Amino acid sequence: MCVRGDDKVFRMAVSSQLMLEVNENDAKAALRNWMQTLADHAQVAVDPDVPTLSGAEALTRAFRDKQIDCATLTTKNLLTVEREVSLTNLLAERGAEAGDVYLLLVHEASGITNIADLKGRELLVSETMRMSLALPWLDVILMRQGLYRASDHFGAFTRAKKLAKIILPVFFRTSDVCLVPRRGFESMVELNPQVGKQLRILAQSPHYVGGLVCFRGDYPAAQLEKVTAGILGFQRTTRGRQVLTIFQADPVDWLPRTTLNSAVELLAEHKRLCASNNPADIAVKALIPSATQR
Amino acid sequence: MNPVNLRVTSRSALVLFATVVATLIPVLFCRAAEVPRPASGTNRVLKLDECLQMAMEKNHMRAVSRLAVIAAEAQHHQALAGYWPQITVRGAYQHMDESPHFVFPASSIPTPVGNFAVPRQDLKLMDPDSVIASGSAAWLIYDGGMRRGYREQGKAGVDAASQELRRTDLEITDSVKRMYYGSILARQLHQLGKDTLARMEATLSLTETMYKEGGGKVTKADFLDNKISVETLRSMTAQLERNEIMAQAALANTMGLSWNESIQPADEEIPFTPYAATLNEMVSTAYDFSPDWARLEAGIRAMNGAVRTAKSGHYPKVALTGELHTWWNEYDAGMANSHNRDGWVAGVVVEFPLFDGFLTQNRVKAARANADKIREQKFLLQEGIGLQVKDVFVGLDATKKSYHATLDAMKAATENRDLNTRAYQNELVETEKVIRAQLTEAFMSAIHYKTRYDYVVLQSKLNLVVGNEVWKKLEAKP
Repeated sequence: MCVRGDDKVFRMAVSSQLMLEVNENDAKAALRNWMQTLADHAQVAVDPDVPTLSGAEALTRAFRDKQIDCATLTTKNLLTVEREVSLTNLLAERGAEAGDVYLLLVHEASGITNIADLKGRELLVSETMRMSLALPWLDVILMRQGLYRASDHFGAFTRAKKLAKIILPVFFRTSDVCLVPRRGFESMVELNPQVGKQLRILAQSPHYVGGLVCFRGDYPAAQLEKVTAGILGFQRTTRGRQVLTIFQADPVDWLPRTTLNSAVELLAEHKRLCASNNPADIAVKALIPSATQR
Repeated sequence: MNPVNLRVTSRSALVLFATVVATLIPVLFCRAAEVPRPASGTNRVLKLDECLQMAMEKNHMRAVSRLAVIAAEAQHHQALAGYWPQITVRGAYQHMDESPHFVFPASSIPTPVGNFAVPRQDLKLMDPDSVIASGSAAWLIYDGGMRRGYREQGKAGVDAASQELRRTDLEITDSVKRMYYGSILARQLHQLGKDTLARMEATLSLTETMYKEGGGKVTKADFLDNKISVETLRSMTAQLERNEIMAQAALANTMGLSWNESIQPADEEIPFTPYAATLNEMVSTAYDFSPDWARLEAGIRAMNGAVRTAKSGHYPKVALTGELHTWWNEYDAGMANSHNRDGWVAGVVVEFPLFDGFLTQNRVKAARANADKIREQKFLLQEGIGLQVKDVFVGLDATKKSYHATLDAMKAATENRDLNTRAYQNELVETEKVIRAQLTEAFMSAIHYKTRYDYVVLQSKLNLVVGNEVWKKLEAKP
């Protein structure tokens, strides 16, 4: 990508975490189709090629060089990129109600009563952009109890996008524990109520916003208004709603900054606790409020 | 996101949806205007009450029935005219070619002194020019029941025409209601079709992009399969659009408006207002208010009147007559003397029918047979009305059950679509299940909307069979 001269053509990128387990060509084709459909509706010139960027560094560079005007990214990447580039006008699926709660599930008959019992066991993790803060949260609750981080506490990790591959092994007791989003778990329970009866919530996180959409701060206001009006208006049409459905997305809306506070606190605590590898020190630190919290 | 799973898009569900909609198209409009009409020039939005009011003012069928009542009333008054004396005044001028004369022949008058010869006398009677003015009156005093019979027939004719007008009003009301709610149904189905088409087009667009530029999992066969469904749906949606336009034009036509006008119903949905009454209640009330029943009873009264009129042929007729005259003539002798210029006559006329070749007898016989025929038809109509009411009643009951069933099905389909969409977001089901759930929701919605329409049409039909008074009677009951 090269620096471009004008802001008339809308350019967008997506985080690689949005395209997990998706064929690259399929992803490019699907996103091109989405951009063209949006362009037809909003009467906005767009670059139909949507690059997939991996990591905060690539996103920072792309925003700084104005190679992109907008991107979908994780909350963690947002906070990192914002240290160097101004980002604004946040959008997320379901707007102010964006995000989810993470659930650590075990089988009712497993005999596991606390997360310390999970040492050495295999952890199945749902891997989507929404779950981007799941492992940091798990690390924090482990470290608060004087345990090692998840990567050291558990014997093995299995990540998968399909929820059935995460929950059903625990249900059938071929695995011990899984980490899933609550909305996904509730959908599965609605389909199969016996899943809800057999699985127990060992731990539950606060509400976190794992991923969102943002615009670069210096994107021209007139163009920004046109693009956001197009995005928000398009999803109100039947065709737009269908596109969202096929892309497994909810309608997006403005995301208040305050909804990210829980994620900011989590990442700050994670950073602070991870600074020491000694479980004793970690436990002590977990008891001491950070400077920002005083 | 996993758009790669855009395989076969529920062709079986789409075929089912197409079958339902194709069935709905002719059922809705089997009684619509026969001539295809082009796009309307004016388009108004009206409520049902406004449509009914306008139809009563402008529908030409009503004008025809109203004129029939006026004609029947005029005929009734003709029959009443017979009770009044008939008074005529005449005036005439006449000119004869010559004055009339009276010639008294010569004669002789014997006298004691011998015969006295009277010469031939030629007497002029009047001048050729005369002006005559006269007035006459005739008053039928007794007619053996003839006038009463005609009066009864005339009155029965007015009653029958009034019931016909009432039936016309009921038919217009029924037609307007069917077309009004038919327009709402057509609009709902068209919207369903458009929404479904928009969803399928979005899916097709993505399928096409995936097959042409994707990783190879979506093939041309998937695209073509999808395209067949979309184009089939596009064809159906075009028909639904046509139905909506035609429904609005048919409604305007039923209301007596011009061919280039259309009426859009103001209501968004077809109401469902069930009743609570037994079949026996409905049937017994129907006999009081059915225009067909009332018309038949008027027919019986007319036939009784015809019998009375025919019987009057056996009886004498008595009339009073009178005449008053005056004439002007220049001659002052002969016939044109002062004694004859003015005069009057009064008299009584009695007419006895002695023998008419059995004409009156057979007229009476024919009239009685016609009266008996109508009395027998009354039994047929009694059963016919009962059967019609029963048919509608049973239909209403069945449709009410269908309403509740299809409502539950529609709610379940909506819940199913919502659940599958959420499950798909969490990779718990494949894309096809979501598409199928969407089509099923549209399909069940169409069925439910049609059931609502069927119910209001049956309610309107019941009004037509027995008259609006039935509903007011039933609604008034606690």
